[in-house]
Parts: sequence; C-alpha cells; structure tokens
Amino acid sequence: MKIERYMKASSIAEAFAILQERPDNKIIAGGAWLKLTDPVINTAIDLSLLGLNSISEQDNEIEIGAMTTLYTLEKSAIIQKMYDGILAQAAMKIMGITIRNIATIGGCIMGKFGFSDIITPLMAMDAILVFHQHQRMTLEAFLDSKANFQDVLIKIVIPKTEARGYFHKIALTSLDFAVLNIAVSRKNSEYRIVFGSRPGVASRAFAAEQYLKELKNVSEDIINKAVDMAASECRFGTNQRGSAEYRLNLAKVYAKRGIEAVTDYEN
Amino acid sequence: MKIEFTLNNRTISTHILPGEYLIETLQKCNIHSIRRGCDTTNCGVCTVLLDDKPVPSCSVLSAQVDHHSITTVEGIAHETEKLSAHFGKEGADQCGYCNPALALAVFALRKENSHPTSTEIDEYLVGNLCRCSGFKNQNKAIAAYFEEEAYQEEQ
Repeated sequence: MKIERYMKASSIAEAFAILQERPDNKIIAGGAWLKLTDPVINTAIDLSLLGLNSISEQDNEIEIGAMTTLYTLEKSAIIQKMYDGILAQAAMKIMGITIRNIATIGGCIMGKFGFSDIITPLMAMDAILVFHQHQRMTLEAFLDSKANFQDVLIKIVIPKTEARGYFHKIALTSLDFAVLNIAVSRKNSEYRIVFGSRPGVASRAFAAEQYLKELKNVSEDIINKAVDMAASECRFGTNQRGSAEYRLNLAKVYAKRGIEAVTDYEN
Repeated sequence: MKIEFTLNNRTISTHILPGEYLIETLQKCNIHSIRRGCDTTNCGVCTVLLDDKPVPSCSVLSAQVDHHSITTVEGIAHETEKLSAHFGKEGADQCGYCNPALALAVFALRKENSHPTSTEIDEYLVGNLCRCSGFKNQNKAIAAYFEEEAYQEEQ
C-alpha cells in the first residue's frame, strides 16, 4: 500500500477539514486493517493526539472514545458490567492481544466490516455514534448509509440501562474471522437479536424482536417460534468459512441459547 | 518525514516514508530480532512492545510511534535469558523463529499479571503462533518461569 502524506491531527475540526479535501484522504484509526483497505491513501489522518481513547460513565450513558482499543474495551470494568459484558466478551475473542492493542472500536465501525465481532453486540446495545458533522446517528442508520461516509467518528454512546445480554462467536480457529456471531439482549420487554458475519455486516431480526416484546412470558414454543422468525428474517450467505445452510443452522441454535440466556429460561 | 522515538531506552531520530511500517524501520535500525511472518497481524512473530504493550510491527506505521517508546527483545535481554533457560528445560524450542516475539509477549503479560494461570497464559499468547512446538511445552516453560520469578520475589 502507498501513503503519500501522514499527519497527526491537532483537532477534530482539522481532521475533518483534511478528510473533506480529497476522497482518498483517510482516517487510519489504529491501522490494524489498513492493509485490507485502500491500496493508495493520499493523506493518512492520525487521531491519536485528540484524547479519543477513553471510556467514561456519564449520568445516562457510557461514552467510548472512537480511538479506544479493543484491549481497553475488554479490560474496562464499565464495559464488563453492561449487558452482561457482551462487548467485552466480543473484544476478547478477536484474534490475539497484539492486534487488540492497536485495533480501535472506531476503526471496527467505520470499516463496516462484515466479519466484525464488535458491530454485532453494539447493535444489541442500541449504540449511538457521534460524528463531527452528522452529530448523533444510530449504528444501524450509519450501516445503512452510503459507503463513502467522509466524517470523523468521535465517540460511541451506549444508553445506561439494566439489561441482559448474550454473545457468541463461532470461528474455525482463535485467529480466524467468525463463521457467524450473534448477540441477543433484553431490556425489560425490549429484545434485540443480531446476527453478524453472515458473512455480510450485522443485521437485526426485527420481527422476532417484536414478537417477543408482545408476550409477557416465554415458553419453549414461543422461543422456538421466535428463533424460526429470526432465522428466516436474516439472510445468510456462503463463503470459504461456511455455507449459508450451515450458518442458518448455527443461527437457530445460538439464537435459542441467547433468548434462553437473557430470559433466564430453563426448560 | 522525520520521527523520533525511544528504542530500548535509546533515542532514535530517523527519516521514514509516510507509508513505512515499523518492522521496516526497526530493521533499518539494525534490530534483527524482529521477524516477518504473515505480514497481516495474524502470526505475531513481528511483535514489539509499544509503550510496553505488545503490538504487531507489521501493521503499525512508523509514523504512529513518533514520540513513543519501542522495546524489542534486545532491550529485555536479561529477562529473555531467564525465559530461554526454561524453554530449554521443557524442550519448548525448535526453530526459534517465534521466540523473540514470544519473550516480549511474556514480558508484557508479567507486567499485567505476575501470577497467570495456564489458561491465562494460553489466552494471552493466542496471537503468537509457533509452527514447531505445539504450544504445550511453551506453556509449561512460561509457567515455570513465572513460578521462579514469584519465588525469587518472595525471597
């Protein structure tokens, strides 16, 4: 890969201005996946001097700086507590510590990587992204936006709440991308069921979530119906890691386990 | 472009290309312990410590380490020697290609956790691949190293 110029931004406004100058000016985040992305970058923009690498607890929400590394995420007591620690669990299952020390949460999101293990739990946690220009935007809205999104992600906000969570990643080896990952959460009667690495980018099972929301109690039959709805609602594809059929079967098994976990349902 | 960083407690001031990776810069600085493996962050043989944290030098741009500190195995020779003795005792060595990176990862682990369990050792080193050893004897050697260090600290 080729980089023409490298600059450490002294402010978010400066980073944004340079980003707007040319489409091949790029924010490099931690640089972990740089080799997988653009072969030529005109100006590589480094945000490391901007203090965006910390996690803080506010009155109503948790703020995660966009430059927070995956290793910081997994070690954070705040993150380990939220939604039964699904974001921390997801981070610690990503390859080795060396890459988790450079890969950032912002980089994981902005790449819109299909294989991401981070986007899946964040979606189950109703994560909101805070950009320099676009201000607040849900993670889902960002993922639906057009591919060339030239803005500076400042932080990720997660509303503080009492919620249950479940995350599972199925991978062939510890260092491989997931065949499938799944996050399930429950906040009172609100459910989120998210499948990632389908191999496409994570998506929610809205109909199944709504079905569970409308019911006061769960039973074996209800869970099975929700699982079938979730699995038929999301599309699964084939790549070298697994077939669509295999992914569909995995989705059913782990969606069921996820719903059982967040409802404390025991058969 | 010009960068300045600390390499094994020495200040280095050098010119780099904007797209140059740390592994290349370190090799130009006559650091020969860093090996190039997969070049895509998977294998861990290019590990160095950036501000005491293990990172893959194949995927860190040299420009990113400006005004930071880098440690290679040359900077922790004494610790490496002690660890190597345990590797020898446990038969954990074969080609040795991954050893410098492994020593650095163990050094970083010790800073975070001086009494790791066998599982914690495995989890911490999951990104440091070894094609020869099968990992069992490495784990035993590292556990023995931690035991000896703990014993010596108690004395």
